[in-house]
Amino acid sequence: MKIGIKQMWWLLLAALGSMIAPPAWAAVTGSVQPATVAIPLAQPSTITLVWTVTTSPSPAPSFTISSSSGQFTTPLGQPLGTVNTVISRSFSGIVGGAPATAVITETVAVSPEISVQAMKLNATSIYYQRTFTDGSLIGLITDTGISIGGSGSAQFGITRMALEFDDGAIVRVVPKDSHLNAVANLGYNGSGLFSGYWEIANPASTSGTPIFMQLQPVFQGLGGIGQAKFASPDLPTNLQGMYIARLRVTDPPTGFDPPVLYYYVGEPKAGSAFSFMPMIVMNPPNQAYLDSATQFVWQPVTGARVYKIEIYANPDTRSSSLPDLGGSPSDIDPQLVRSALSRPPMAGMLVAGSQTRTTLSPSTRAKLQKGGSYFWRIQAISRDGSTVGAAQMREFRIP
Amino acid sequence: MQFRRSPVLVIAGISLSCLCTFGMAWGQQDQPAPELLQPAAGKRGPSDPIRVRLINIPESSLQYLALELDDIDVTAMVTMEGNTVAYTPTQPLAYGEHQLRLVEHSPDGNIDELGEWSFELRKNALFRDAQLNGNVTVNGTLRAADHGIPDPKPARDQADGSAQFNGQAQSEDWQMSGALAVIANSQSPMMPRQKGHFDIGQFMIAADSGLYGFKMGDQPLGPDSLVLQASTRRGISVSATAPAGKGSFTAFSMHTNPITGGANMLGVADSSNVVNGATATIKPIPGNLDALAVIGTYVDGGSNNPSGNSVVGGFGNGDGHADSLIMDSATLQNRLRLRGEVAKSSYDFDGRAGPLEPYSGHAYTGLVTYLPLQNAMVSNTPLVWSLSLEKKLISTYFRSPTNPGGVSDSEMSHALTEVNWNGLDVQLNAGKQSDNVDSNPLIPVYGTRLRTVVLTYSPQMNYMPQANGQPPATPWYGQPSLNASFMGLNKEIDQPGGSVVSTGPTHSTYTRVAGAAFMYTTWSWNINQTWTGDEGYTIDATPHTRNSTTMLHGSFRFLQKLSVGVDASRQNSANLGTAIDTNGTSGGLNLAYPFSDRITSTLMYNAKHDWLTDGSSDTVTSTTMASVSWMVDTAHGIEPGVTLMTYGNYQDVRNNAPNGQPGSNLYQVFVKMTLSWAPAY
Repeated sequence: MKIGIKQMWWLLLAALGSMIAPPAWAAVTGSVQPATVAIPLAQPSTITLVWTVTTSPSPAPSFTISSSSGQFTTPLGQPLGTVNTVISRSFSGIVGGAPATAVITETVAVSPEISVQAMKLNATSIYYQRTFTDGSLIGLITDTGISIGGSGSAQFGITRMALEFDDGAIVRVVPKDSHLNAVANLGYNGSGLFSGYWEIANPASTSGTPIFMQLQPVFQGLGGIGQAKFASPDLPTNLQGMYIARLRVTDPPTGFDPPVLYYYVGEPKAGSAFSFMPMIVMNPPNQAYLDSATQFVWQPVTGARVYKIEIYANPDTRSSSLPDLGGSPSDIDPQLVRSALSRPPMAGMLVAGSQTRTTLSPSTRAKLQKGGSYFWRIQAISRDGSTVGAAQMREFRIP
Repeated sequence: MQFRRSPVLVIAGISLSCLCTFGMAWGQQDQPAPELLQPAAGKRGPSDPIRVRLINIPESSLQYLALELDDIDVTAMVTMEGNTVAYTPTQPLAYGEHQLRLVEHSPDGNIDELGEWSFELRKNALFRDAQLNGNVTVNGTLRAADHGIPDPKPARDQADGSAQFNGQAQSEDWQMSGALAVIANSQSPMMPRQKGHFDIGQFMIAADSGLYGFKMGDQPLGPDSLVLQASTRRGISVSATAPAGKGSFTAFSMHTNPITGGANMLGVADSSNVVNGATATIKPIPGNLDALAVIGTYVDGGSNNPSGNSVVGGFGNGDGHADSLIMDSATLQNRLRLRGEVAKSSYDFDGRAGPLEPYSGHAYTGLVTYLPLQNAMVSNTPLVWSLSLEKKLISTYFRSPTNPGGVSDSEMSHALTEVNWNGLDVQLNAGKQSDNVDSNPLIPVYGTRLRTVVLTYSPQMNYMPQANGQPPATPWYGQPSLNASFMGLNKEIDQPGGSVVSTGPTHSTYTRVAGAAFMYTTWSWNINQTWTGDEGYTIDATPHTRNSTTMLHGSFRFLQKLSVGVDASRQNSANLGTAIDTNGTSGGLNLAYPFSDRITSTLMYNAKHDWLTDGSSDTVTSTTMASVSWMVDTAHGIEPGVTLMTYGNYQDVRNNAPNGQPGSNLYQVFVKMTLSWAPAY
C-alpha cells in the first residue's frame, strides 16, 4: 500500500492526537472490597478498604495512579465528609501501553458525625468514593456497601489510641534507674485479635536516626466493652538521654502512625547508690490473700543494713465497674501503683539487714482492713541511708 | 514480730530485766506515761535519734511493745539506752510533721496505745519546710561513624538535655509545691512538639491553705465516672475539703486533650479545646465515712483536635456537656458494696460551628458485690468467695467531652463470681451486651454474649532458712505461678433493621491462654501460649482466622553482676479463606554488666522474621545496640556529675520476597559526654 504525503500528514496528526487525547475506550476503572461493611452510629470507627484500580491503556512507561481525597456521601449524593488522605501506587517499565492494575489498601477513620449526619437524613447506608487519576484520565470508584448500625455492628478496628505514663503525664524527666511504665488506652470496635509490640528507641539511637527495638509483644483477644488498657513492661532507664516509647499495632490495621511518648533520663536520684540492685521477692505471690502466718521472703542485697517493707492502700478498691470481660489474668495496673505512691505508706515495718524473711508485725497487721487490697514493696537501705535495692510493687489482699 | 526476737531485743531484754523490778503493769491509771525526750541540741535534725523514756515497764510487756514512726513499725531497729528506747532513722527524715506511736500488743490480740506524739522537723524559723531541688542533665553527642542512615541526615554534633525541678515550702497552715520539667534538643524534629529547641515538658504548681487548695498545670482529674475518665490534663483548679474527710469540692478549667510544651501554659488559652467542670464528694455518715459516698460531676466543653504525639483517633470535633451522680456504699465490714450512677449528656457531634444540633444521651450503671463468707477457713487457709452483678446502659448518643475513650450505645449485663483458696483463684464471668439502645427502627439490634473463665494458681511457699544460715532455698520447680483463661464471644443479630433483614449469628471469637512462670533465687522464666480464632458469617465478612502465639522469657543473674534477659516469640495467623498464613518469629537477648560501680555496659540484640506463606512478603530484621558508660562522678549540689559513654547500633533489613523492596542496613556510632547537676536547697 502506498502512502502519500497527504496521508502521512493525517497519520502524523492521528498519532499526535492519540498522545493528547486517549482513545474512546481508554478508562480508569476499578472496584473496592469488601462488598459490605458496617459502621456504628455516633461512634468513631475504622474501615479497611482494598481499592483495585485499572488504567487501560497505560499513559506512559512510568506513571502513578493516585487519589487525593475520599468523600462520604449519602446514596442521594448529599456530602457527609471528606478524607484528605492521598493514596497512590507508582508503575514503571510498562511497555506498549499495557493495562496496569493498582491494588491499594486504605484504612479509613470514620468520625462519628458522618453517621450522625447520615441518620439525620434518614440514610441507613453511606457511600465512600474516590476519584483516581493516572495523570491523564480520571475515574470515579464508589463503595456502596457501608451500612450504619449499632455499636455491635462494626468490624474489628482500633478507633483511638492514647499513650501516657503511669502518672498520666505524656512527657517525663526521670532520674536514672527509676521505675517507669507506659499505658496504652485503646478504643476499639468489634472483636478480634489485637497484636502489637511495645518498642523503645533509646539514647543509643535517638541522637541520630531513632531505631526502635522490641520490648515485649502484645497479643490479646478483644471483644465486648470497646475499651482496653495495655501496660508496658518496665521501660528502661539505665542510660542517660532521650527515649521514645510506642506501642506499634500490627493487627488490626489502624491507618495511623503509632503515637509516641518521650522521656528523658538524667542523674540518679539523690540517695541512690552507684550500684542499685533490683530485688527478687519470693513470697507472697502477687495478689495473694494474706493470713497471719504469711511469710515475706526476699533475696538478700549486699550492703543492706535494713530492709523496709512499705504498704500502700490500693486506690482502686472502689473501682467504678467490674473488670473487663477480656478474659486474661490481670497484672497490676501501673497507674494504680503510681497513684498509691502519691501518698505516704499507710503501714510498713523495718527488718534487720541480717534477715531475709518475716511475717508482718502485729502493729502492721492491725492497720490492714478486712476485704482490703494493698500494694507493697521492699527496699534495701545501706548504712549511709542510700537505697541499694528495691523490688517491684506487688499486691496482696486481706480476706 | 515480737520485740524479744529481734537482735535489738537482746539489748532491750537486758535493760528491761532491771526495769521490771518495778513489777507494775502498763495501763494502770497511776503510772507515769512514756515520755518523748527532746533532743539535746534543742532542735531536732533529720537524722537525730528519737528517744522515748519508759518508766516502770514489766518484763512481760516488753516483748509486745512496738514503736511506729509515720505508720512504719521501726521496732527492729530500736535500741535500749537504760530505760530509754532509741531509734536512729535509717534514712534522714523529711522536714515537716511526724507521728510517733508506742503500742503494746497483748497476747490476746488487744492493742494498747502507750503513747502518741507528733514532732516537727523545721527547716528554719520562717518555714517548716522549704526546699528546692533540681536534676539537670546536658548531653553532648558526636556521631563518630555511620552508614546507611536515611536523608536528611541528622547533624553530626548533637546536644540535648533535660531538667526536673521540684520545690516546696510549708508552714503551719499552708503549703506550696511546684514541679517543672524542661527539655531541650538541637534537633527540632526530636522535640515532643517537633519544633523549637527548648520547651516545657509538664509542670504543676499547687498551693493549699488548710481546707482550700489551688492547682495550676498538668494535674490529675477524677474520680472515674461515666462522664469523666480519670486522667491528667493541663489547666487550673480550685478545691475545698470538708473537715475530717467528710467531703470535697473541686472546680476546674482544663485543656480537653493531653498537651505538652510552653505554648499553652495554663491549658485554657484555646477556647475550642477547653472543658470546664466541677466535682463534689460528700460522705454523710459520721464515724463510718466509707459507708456512703455521694459524688456529683458536671463538665462542659469541646475539642477540635484530639490528636497529638501521644493520642490518635477518637471523636474528632465535638462539643457538649454532661453530668453524673454516683452513690457508692460499702457496708458489712466491706463485704457488701453497692454502687449506682446516673448520667446524662448533650453533645454536638460536629462542634458548635457545624450544622448538626446537639443530641441528648443518658446512661446508668448499677453494681453489687457481695462476699457471702466471713472468716471462712479450709485447712487453716482463708477461703474467699465473691459474687458481683453489674448492669450498665449507655444510650446511642451519650457522649462526654471528658471521656474521650468512652463507649456508647451499649446495654450490658455482667455477672462475676470469684473463689480464692490457697493460691488458687477461679473467676467466672458471663455477660450480654446489646446495641441500638435507643431502639432506632432504621438499624438492627446486635447481641453479643461473652463468657470468660480465668484460673490462676500462685501458691504461697513455706520457706525455711537453710542450716548454714543461707537464705531460704526454693524447691526444684521454683516459685510457680500458673494461669489459664478462656474467653468466648458470640455475636448475632437479635432484631433486623435497615438493610439487615434477618436474624442469626454473625461473628464468633475465642481466646485461650495458658501461661506458667517459675521464679528462682537468681533467675526466672515464663512461657505463655495464646490461641485465638475469629470468624464472621453472612453480613460480617471478616476472614476466618486462627492464631497461635508462643512467648518465652527468661531472666538470669550470674555472679551477682551479669544480668541476662532472653526473649523469644512465634506467631502464626492462618487465614482459612485465602489459605495464606502470616508468620512471625522473634528473638532477643539483653545483657547488662557492671565492670565496677561506675562502669557499666549493655548489649541488646533482637531479630525478627516475618513472612507470608504465599511468598509475597518475607522480611528479616536484626538490630544490635551496645553501650559502655563510665560515670566519672555523680553530681553533688552545683558540682557537676560527669558521665562518658560510647554506644552504637546496627540494623540490617533483608527482604527475601521476589518483588519486595531491596534490603538495607545502617549503623551509627556515638560518643557522648553527659554533665549533670543536682542543685538543692
